[in-house]
Amino acid sequence: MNSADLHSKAQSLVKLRHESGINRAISDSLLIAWRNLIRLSRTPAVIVSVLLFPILFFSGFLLAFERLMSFQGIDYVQYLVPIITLQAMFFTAMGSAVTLAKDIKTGMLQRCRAMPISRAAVLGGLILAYLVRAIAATIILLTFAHLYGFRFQTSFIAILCYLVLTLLFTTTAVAGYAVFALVLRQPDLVNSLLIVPYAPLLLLSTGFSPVENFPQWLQPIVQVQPVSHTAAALRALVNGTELLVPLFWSLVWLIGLLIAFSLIAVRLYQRVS
Amino acid sequence: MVQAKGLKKSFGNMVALRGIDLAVPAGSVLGVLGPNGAGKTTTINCLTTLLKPDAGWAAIAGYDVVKQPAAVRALIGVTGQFAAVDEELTARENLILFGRLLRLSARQAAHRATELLEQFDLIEASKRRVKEFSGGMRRRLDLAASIVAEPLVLFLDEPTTGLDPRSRRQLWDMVRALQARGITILLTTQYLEEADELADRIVVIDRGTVIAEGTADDLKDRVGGTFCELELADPKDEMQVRQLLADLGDLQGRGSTLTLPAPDGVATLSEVVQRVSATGIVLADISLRRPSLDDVFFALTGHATGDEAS
Ligand SMILES: Nc1ncnc2c1ncn2[C@@H]1O[C@H](COP(=O)(O)OP(=O)(O)O)[C@@H](O)[C@H]1O
Ligand SMILES: [Mg+2]
Repeated sequence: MNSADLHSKAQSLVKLRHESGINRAISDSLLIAWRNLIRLSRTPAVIVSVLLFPILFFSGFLLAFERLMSFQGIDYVQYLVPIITLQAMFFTAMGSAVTLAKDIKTGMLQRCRAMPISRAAVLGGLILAYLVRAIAATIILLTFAHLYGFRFQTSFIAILCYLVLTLLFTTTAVAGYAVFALVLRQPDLVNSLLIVPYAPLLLLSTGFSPVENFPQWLQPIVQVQPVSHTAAALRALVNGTELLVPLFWSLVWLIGLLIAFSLIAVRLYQRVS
Repeated sequence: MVQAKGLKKSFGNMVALRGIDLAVPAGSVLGVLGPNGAGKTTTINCLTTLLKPDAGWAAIAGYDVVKQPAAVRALIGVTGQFAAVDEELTARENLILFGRLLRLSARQAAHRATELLEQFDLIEASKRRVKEFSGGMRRRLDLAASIVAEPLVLFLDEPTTGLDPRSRRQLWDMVRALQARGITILLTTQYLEEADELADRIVVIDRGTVIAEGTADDLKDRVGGTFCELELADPKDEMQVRQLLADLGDLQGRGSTLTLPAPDGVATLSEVVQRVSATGIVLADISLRRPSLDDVFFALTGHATGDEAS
């Protein structure tokens, strides 16, 4: 090839393999999601545990607290399902953090960074794949809860809203855990610290027990945090109680955090080495 | 095709690159030779947009690596130091994934995957997951993945480090085949032999600076080329052997171990064997020793590789 040929070949490649734009971001994310789903489908132990854990927690909490809560006038099956749903979404997001940390370690992320693919695709592909897993986990949990007598007291639309809000929560959680993995990087470290964001957010929420049951000084924190609002909104969608306020704060939190986490994750991704 | 001028990079107060200059003309192979920690990977990372140099300038086909990183990524293929392919996927799935990401259609990607699996001798393993692969197979797959969509420039970071000799030769053949197709290649290595086999020109780097540049022959001449080492069963034969071989070159050493420059390699060695055995002198051992990176280093810098004193 002479230099003029080379030059025009280079130009046409640069044009063909551009990496910016929303279309690029979507198609590259879909490809990476496909790859993540293949990986997921080949790790049966993970699938089983992720789908079974929520059921175990649901049964466990029910056995421990159902009678206690009934003294407070709470139908605990109806109260508990939303927070167990969010717990399952946390598990899903933790799985995504482990996958991402492995990809950093094997150099897969490094390879993606040197390829002309959308800078958002690794995060996008992670979220999409884990949303598929989230849908499966939610459906299994709701089906199981149904056997315990759990019922939506509302409409079909409310059920759809329940799913959509759950998936929004998952999206934010996966983005948050992506930041977590991109900061810590070592798979072992990521694995052993997974519980750090999860435990306080889940346990210090109004998901398992109403705010009055917490010590006075803790109540403001318990009330204001995103998991409490999201669980409350989901409960409202289940039981037909006051929806707008918790839904509003839940959306503010989840969308705000999602934007922040995504921007940070994409920036961190560009520095992985 | 690839140009770099005065590339500098530090990590904290660890200076990795102190001003690297290099150029790779289109269609040629440049070998970047240096010991562990010399700055080879850092150089490749700067050229492939993975790291931003602190100072200096570099371009691929005229596109600035800092100002137009997306354009640079469209033109290059990179095989990193540690084979980065997906362990859970099969060889074929890996190639299809990278092909699709590089804008091949589903059908093109499938076709290309088959082609590459054949070319890289992986067809029998194509349905197996990569985690079952040997080191050599992984490297080959990694290389195949880097050229799914033919790049203009291919970067190979220590492509054969840790491979057995057979896999190494196999990989060399593949690199030669890529060069024959007109791909410009920049490869790093710790082995002079590898640079010698593959590279048109060699740049030797040490502690982040270029300390020598030239063809493999240039470098070997600076070291003195291949030597024939002979060990006498009886040290008393030394004088006789010296006389016997005097016309072949400058005989070094004393006692039972003698070294002779062997520009003709095996031919020199067999000449020595014939002459010596004709006189009935017994050799305990005889071998050819080619200059290694260590010898080149010693000749160029006066210190051994990895020797931290400066
Ligand atoms: N991310 C990093 N942080 C700190 N030091 C680094 C980093 N990467 C490389 N180095 C240092 O820079 C020097 C050059 O490293 P490298 O380019 O990997 O050498 P090579 O590839 O030739 O073995 C080494 O001393 C290494 O320890
Ligand atoms: Mg290296």
